[in-house]
Amino acid sequence: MEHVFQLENVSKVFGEGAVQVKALNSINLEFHRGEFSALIGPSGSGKSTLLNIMSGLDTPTTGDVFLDGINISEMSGNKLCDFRRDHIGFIFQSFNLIPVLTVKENIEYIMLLQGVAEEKRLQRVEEILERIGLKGFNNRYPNQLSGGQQQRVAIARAIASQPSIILADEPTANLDSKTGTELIDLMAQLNADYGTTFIFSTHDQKIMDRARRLVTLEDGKIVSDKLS
Amino acid sequence: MMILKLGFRNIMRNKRRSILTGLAVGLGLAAMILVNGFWKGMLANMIDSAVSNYVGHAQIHHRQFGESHEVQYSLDPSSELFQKLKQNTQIEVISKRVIALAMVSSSQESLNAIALGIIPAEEKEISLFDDRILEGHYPENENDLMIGVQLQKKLSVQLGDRIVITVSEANTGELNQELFRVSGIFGTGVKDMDEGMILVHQRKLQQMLSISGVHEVVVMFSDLKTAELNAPFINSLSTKDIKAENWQELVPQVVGIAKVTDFSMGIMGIILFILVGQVILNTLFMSLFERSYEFGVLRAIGTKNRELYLMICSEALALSCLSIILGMIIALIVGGYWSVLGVDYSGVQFGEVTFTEKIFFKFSLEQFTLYPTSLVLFTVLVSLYPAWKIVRIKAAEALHRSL
Repeated sequence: MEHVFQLENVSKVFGEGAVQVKALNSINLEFHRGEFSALIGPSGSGKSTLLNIMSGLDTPTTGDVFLDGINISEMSGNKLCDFRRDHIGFIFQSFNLIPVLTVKENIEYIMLLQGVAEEKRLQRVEEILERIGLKGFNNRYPNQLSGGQQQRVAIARAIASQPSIILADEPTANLDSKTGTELIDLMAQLNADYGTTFIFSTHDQKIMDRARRLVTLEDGKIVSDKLS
Repeated sequence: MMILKLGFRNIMRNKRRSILTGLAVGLGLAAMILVNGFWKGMLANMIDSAVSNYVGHAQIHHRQFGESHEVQYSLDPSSELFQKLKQNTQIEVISKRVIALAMVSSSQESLNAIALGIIPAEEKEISLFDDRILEGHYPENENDLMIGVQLQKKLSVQLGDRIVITVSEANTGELNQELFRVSGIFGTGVKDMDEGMILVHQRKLQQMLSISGVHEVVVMFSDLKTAELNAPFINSLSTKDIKAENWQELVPQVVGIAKVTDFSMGIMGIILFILVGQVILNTLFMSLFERSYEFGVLRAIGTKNRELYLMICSEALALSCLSIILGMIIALIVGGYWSVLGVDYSGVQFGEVTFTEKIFFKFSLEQFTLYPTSLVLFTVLVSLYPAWKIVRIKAAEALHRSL
């Protein structure tokens, strides 16, 4: 199966001298196209650090990260920014939509950064809104939506740029159980329909139950990597 | 376009803060416009007071009279100089004056004064003496005399009282005395005039001085602008013996005040811009750093430095637009009020010029173009600093609560 992500001997050390903390310790990991996987582990195990490094938001102290065969740990500046925009989608725990932009504009924003023509952008926004069950919500602002609806818009924003992979950090943590389940169903459906790779960092049992692969981290090391 | 929209919408996220900032900056702009308009009004008033009280748009003297004030140095009214003046169609009035130092004596007191020998019909067109007559009338008969109100009080004379004027004849220096009657009392509000000037018939004073010429020729054009356009003409009248001067040379203190005004406006502008810069910086820093997490998100989803700069600068642009709108409204209301009702400074002396009229606020194009544009540009320039701070934020650090 084709690799989307490949991490080779990735380590991350925070601090200097005597106060050094090794957040990640020689991680070797591969994710394949179309995976629906979860990084799990206790708080402080290194899940967030690993996601930061995989997304290019942070750089490893040692080791390399390959996304679609390209070493992103050697990239910087605008090049990395463009690469991240075109290849990685993000879903955050607290939705993080831009409050002064409407639903349509929030979804459109990333396509605008990509330079997608207006007609195509609007067509795609409509398609995505229909797909996530928010047709007709175009001109609403985030504060006019429920938490579940906001997270749906966040998913829509993540898939708008047609990325190879979506990194989702605790996407159901701020939602009630029913809404959380609906969201997981939606993401699973998107994964099935578009083949988009989803990697979650989570404590949510519902996501763990649905994930086809569970990678467990402890003290910056992978302690288990199981397919379900 | 969406980046700009984002910037403009962001300032409305905290309406109270944006409006307070807009008001603070707007008040600064309004203050600058109002001070400028008031200075312009004051300057116009000073020029008008200086020119129309006595000086006129230009004056011509015998060069040596200008230096020594000896009465024998006079200008011949039949000379080529007067022909040239008459040929200039833009000159509205020419008034000739005879000037002599005189001893003015009443039954109570003797004092020195400047005796001004005038042709009443000409002088009425030039100076404001006729508008400032407190009692009586202009000299109509050869032995009539008009006196300044302060001098009148010191001499303890009333209308109709007799006064003896003593002058030295030209060339011989012999004393010559004549009896006059007080026909009028003037009060210009200008201390030197009210305390030390008398107006008499020109022919009478010429007879007393034994001269046929005049000492001062005052020229008035239709307005100040025409006078300024004719400055080269006036200068061309100067010769070895004749000195012709424009109003700027006659009242250099007013010109000096205009320069000082420009300088002080510049200083005020700098101070204002520093204050505005601080207000804008504070507001932007508050607004941006409380949203650093959001900037982390924007970074994460692929917003580049250039786009972040544009977004923050557009936020500053929106804030400055709000500020200049508020500032211009305030300036229009207050300036409009002053431009109609004016501020009464009549009688107040400043820069050797006494205000005789109310000071009216003067609007000008630069107040509503140059100042607001400079403010907007400065604000956008200042916003580059917080923008620079924001683009340096590492997305991973900004997002540490989540990703």
